[in-house]
Amino acid sequence: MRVEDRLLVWRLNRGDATALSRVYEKYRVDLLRLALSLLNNPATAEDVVQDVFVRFAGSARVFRLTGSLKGYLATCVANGARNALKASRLRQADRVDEAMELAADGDGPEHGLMCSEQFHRVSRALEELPAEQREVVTLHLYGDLPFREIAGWQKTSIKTVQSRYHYGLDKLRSLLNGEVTE
Amino acid sequence: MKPQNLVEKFVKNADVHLEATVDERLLQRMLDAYNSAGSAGPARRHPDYWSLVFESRFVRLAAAAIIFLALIILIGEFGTLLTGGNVAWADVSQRFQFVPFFYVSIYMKEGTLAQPQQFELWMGKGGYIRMRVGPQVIFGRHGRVTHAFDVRRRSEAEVDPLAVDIIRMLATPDEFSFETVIQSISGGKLVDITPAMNTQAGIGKELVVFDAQSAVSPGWVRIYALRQSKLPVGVRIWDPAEGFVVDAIITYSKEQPAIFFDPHAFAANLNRSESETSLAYLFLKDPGGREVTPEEGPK
Repeated sequence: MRVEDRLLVWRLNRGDATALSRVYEKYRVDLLRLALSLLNNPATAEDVVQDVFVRFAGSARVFRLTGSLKGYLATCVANGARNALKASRLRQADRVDEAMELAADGDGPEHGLMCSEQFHRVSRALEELPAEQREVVTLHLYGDLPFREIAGWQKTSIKTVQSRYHYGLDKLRSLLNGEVTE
Repeated sequence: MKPQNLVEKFVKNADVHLEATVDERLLQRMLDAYNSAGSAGPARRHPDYWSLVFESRFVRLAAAAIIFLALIILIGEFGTLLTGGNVAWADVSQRFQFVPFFYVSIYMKEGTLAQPQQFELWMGKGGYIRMRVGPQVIFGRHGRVTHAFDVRRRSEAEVDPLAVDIIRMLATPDEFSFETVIQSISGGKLVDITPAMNTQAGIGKELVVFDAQSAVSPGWVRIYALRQSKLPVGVRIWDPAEGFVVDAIITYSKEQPAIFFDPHAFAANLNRSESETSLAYLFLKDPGGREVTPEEGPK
């Protein structure tokens, strides 16, 4: 457990609102990458992440940290992404590239998510993975969730999660062939 | 680096960011949510750094390290705690602020018979920091870790989270202030106990000792400072109930050369034949200006 997180939650519990900005600054990028990788839609990803942060802020005075704060937030984002997908507000056609073009055109004044070229490449490769592998890879790499917790979230065994991770990385390596160098 | 590690690194380094205006809007929404929840009911008002230390075995050593660092590194705020005639604390704090370089060695142990864990920290001018935690040598500046190396594996390493937190805290004294720590441990009471400590000894003329007593346990924090130079030289955090101890020794010696804080110079020597000890202390000079690694010693 990160000591700073424990201190931040401790400060939030006692009414110190300034700790909110540190929590946000510390985890927003990873949570955005996680949501975007799971949803492939910048606007929805941003909505999910914003919702998670605002809900966290609303409960921060009584929040009890029992594990990793980042892991908790990442799980909230993953749940939010699942719900968003279930709600069928996304279509396969809403790919990152198209949505990013829309964002660049100024569409959607409420959103301002911008991706690097490298993220575009990673995102395209992640899209090629089966959903379960993509979840494992992104929850582990962007959410820092251990395999044990991902197994609980996916309701499967740790071995299955580990296999999904290794198969996922192997496939990513071949998809990103030539781009991944030391 | 293994192919799998390269893919992990590539994925992790793929960046996204939000426009600043969106950040501001969201932070305001978070603040509104936080404040409106606060108006619905009182926040819990009885936190204590001491209880944080003992809340979980997993975090106790790290939390104690942070309390300790707040105590010595952020000692510059001592003056704000003092009212009236206790000038000594203000002097200690003011003196400490003008020290350009120091080294601190921190030992922590969980119980009376437990083996201590140690970490070392060097601070230099310009916000440069170097730490050693276990086999890791970590470089940082202005609150950020720049590089971390494992001297056993002789390669770059994923930095120890404790070091990340400590280095960041060193750059944000306003967030984790000495005042906050002392308030939480002893309600703001800092007591000069030098006469009680040294009733029989002439040492009291040279050493001044202050205590902050925990309100929730028999534990206390004790700080030793030199009376004449007004510099803190030692800190002890102790809970006699469990024999949990943090001891720190602070040294003010000659400033280390710039190369000592240079991660690239360190990296260039990773694969040379030095022992682990030599690598851990690479470029370190003793107060007389000599190298301190074994290769420099008598054969």
